[in-house]
Amino acid sequence: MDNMKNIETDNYPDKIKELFKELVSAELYEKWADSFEAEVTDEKKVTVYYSGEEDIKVFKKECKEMLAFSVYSVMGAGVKIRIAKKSSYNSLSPNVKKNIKAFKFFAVGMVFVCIATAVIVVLCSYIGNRSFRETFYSTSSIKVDSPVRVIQLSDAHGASYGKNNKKLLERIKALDPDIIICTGDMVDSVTGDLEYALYLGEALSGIAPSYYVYGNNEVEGIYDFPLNEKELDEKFGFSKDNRDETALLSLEDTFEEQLEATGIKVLKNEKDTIKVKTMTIDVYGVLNSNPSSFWSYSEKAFMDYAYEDTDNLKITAVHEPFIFEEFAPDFWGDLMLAGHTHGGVMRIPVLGPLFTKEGGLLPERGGSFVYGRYDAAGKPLIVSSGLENSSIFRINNQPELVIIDINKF
Amino acid sequence: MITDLLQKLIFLVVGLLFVVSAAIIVLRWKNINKTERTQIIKTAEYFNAWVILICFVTTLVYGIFNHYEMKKSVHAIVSLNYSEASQALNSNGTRYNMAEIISDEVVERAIEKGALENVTVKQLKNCLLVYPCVQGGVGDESQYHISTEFAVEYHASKDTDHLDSENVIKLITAAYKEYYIEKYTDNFSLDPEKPDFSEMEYMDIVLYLDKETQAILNYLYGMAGKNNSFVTENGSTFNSIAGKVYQFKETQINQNLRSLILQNGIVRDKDGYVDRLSYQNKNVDFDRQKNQASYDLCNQAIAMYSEEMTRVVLVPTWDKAGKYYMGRTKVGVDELSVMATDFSNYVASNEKEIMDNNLIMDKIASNEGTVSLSSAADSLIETIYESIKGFEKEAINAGREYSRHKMNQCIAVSIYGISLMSELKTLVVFAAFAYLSLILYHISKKFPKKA
Repeated sequence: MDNMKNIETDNYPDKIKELFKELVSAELYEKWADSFEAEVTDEKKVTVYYSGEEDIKVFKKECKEMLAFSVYSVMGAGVKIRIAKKSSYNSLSPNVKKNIKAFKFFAVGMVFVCIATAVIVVLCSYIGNRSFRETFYSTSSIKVDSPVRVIQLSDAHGASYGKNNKKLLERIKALDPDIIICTGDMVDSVTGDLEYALYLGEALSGIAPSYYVYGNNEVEGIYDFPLNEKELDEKFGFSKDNRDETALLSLEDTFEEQLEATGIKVLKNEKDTIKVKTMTIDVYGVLNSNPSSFWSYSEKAFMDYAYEDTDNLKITAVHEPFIFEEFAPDFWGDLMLAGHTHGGVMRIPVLGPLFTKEGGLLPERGGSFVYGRYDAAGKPLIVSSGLENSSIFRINNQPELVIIDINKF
Repeated sequence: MITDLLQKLIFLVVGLLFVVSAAIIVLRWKNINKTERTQIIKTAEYFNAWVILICFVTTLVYGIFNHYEMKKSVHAIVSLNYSEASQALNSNGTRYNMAEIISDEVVERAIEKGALENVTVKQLKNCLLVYPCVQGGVGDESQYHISTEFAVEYHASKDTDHLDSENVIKLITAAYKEYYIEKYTDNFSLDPEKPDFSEMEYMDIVLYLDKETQAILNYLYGMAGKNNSFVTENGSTFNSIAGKVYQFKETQINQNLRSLILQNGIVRDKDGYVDRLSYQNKNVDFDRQKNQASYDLCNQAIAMYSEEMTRVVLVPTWDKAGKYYMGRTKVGVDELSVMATDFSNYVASNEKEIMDNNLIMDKIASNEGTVSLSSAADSLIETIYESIKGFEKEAINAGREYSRHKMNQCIAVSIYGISLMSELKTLVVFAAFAYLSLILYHISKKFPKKA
């Protein structure tokens, strides 16, 4: 029966056109005959597709009445008639149209799934970032007689794990470090909660000898300008020929005094020598890790440290890792620590960090030091992704506490 | 555990759908004829949007749980980089044992290093597996293989589910390296604490300094025994440093300092030290008497030996080239003769010690307690102590240079987490299975319940 009906409806467009020919004048039929065709969607609906060059309104005005009469005569009264301009979609067969519809549904479904997945991933990451992970590194130095453990904290931006960082401090204590180094941006320049750093400084120095290196956030909070070469030159009235490195250290800094009162040592282009078990260790902190001013305002102090002939183990702490990318001296130290990059904030499996301000899109592909362990002049450089946890874009990149064990071999 | 359950649940649902759909098709197979069946299979919507969408979502969710599950398994490769490893030996020449990588001591050390909570050595050890990367055969000689690379696998269990797998394997390998270095590599260092010389008797200080110097010499001779041609960056060899130390010991400690103290009878507590030496002499004399008696006994035994019993005994043996020869072996009388010589030497040594002590006591008795001599001795002691520390540093540096040259990082560790390819493979297989199940379900609905 169904097949029989189909055969009938298939003939309707021809019958409608034939009846239309009989009803209108030969002149009118000649004018519009090639410009339209009827399509029977079902027994109750007919669409007349107009494909002529003249305005469809003219066609409707001259032919609508007779077309309706033809349709009613062929298919019966009550059939809905729609006159529409013929588009490329309309010219498609019902089967193709059905496929397109399915594809549209699939595409919308996929978009929905992707959005839902993205929301879930962001949400899961945000919840996951409420706790920190511990990242262990092992490295070796012939200067070491027995294992030395260094714990690095970086880029906390005021983040707290437990009340007053109780959880973080408990773990640091349990991990029993020999030295603790904060590689900057522990406070945020926007919120500027220096009390946070003072509390942390006091707690850390009670666990092990601790050091603090300023990051760009502390620098902006303390000095009110980033320590780049141009602004430093302007501030001191220096030029390329008459720069004096020591001027940088003469800038007023009350935060340093407050921090050192808690027991943590602030390193500003200087080293501190410490005895750990039977070994002597030099910890050097760079004040201006910005590559633009490192060589102009820190070179001498750094070179004195780097090329000092000593058997002491040398640990170099810098906030931004860019000096290691841009310059290649013979020696940076036995172990270098840096932060700043937040591990690229969003990390994509296989591709790594998605974006950093300095390295652009997929920065590791361009040779930027963004996260993990790298080689700097033949010695290990550890770039921490930091402890910051407020960004919702920090995805697949849990905040971290870095633990480095230095052994003999 | 939840991820594990959810992952299995998704797989179960998809599997169930597959089984049920297949069962429906089988049961209703005969309800229609072959042409109709072919028609159903041919006209089935293989690219149905719903099917693809559900398949995608299921695979995505399964993939997330699978990722978390796969993260629980990590493995590391421990490579032995020192020269003796190719002979299956530790760097000190003892037999290498790969089981030590996951021994109780190493696992306990790893737990301590990582401050791992709520886990016991036994629980963690149960999750670890170690095996050689290349396993040789025993069939014939060409199949023999001494592995210098060992794989350590970690699969989290219910008890260790809360630990980060990658951290655990890092800690295990780091703990093993630490354990290995402590147990099998050169770890020379002298007493780091400087003794309070003002509380010690001068002759005791001499003995202390002599002992410290001898320890440096022993270390240097030991290193020279390993490689006597090794030259440090500043052109020294172990023997040349040992030569300097020996000369210093003989001249500065044994001649200058000892002579200064003995000849002038320098002492902090005159009576106390004399009493100590007298008591020491009594003990030594007792040893001397014992050694003398043993010597006499050996001589008596030799005299009693029958002449026939003292003849040379020859035994057949072979040399290094594999040639046979008749070797002379010791007999009882030879043994007695060696013992007699030893006892005689002991007696001589005891007598010398008694004489030395008597000499010291005589010198002390005649000492008038000059302060200037005491301060000269103190100053000399300080100079000698500083020099010994200098030699110690030189010896350690030479040893470190040699270790760096020879040990080649000792043990290298590479950690391997989950690979994206293996995850993708699992996902592709699962997606195909899910798609097949859904299509099968779609087709099964078209089979009529009744014929």
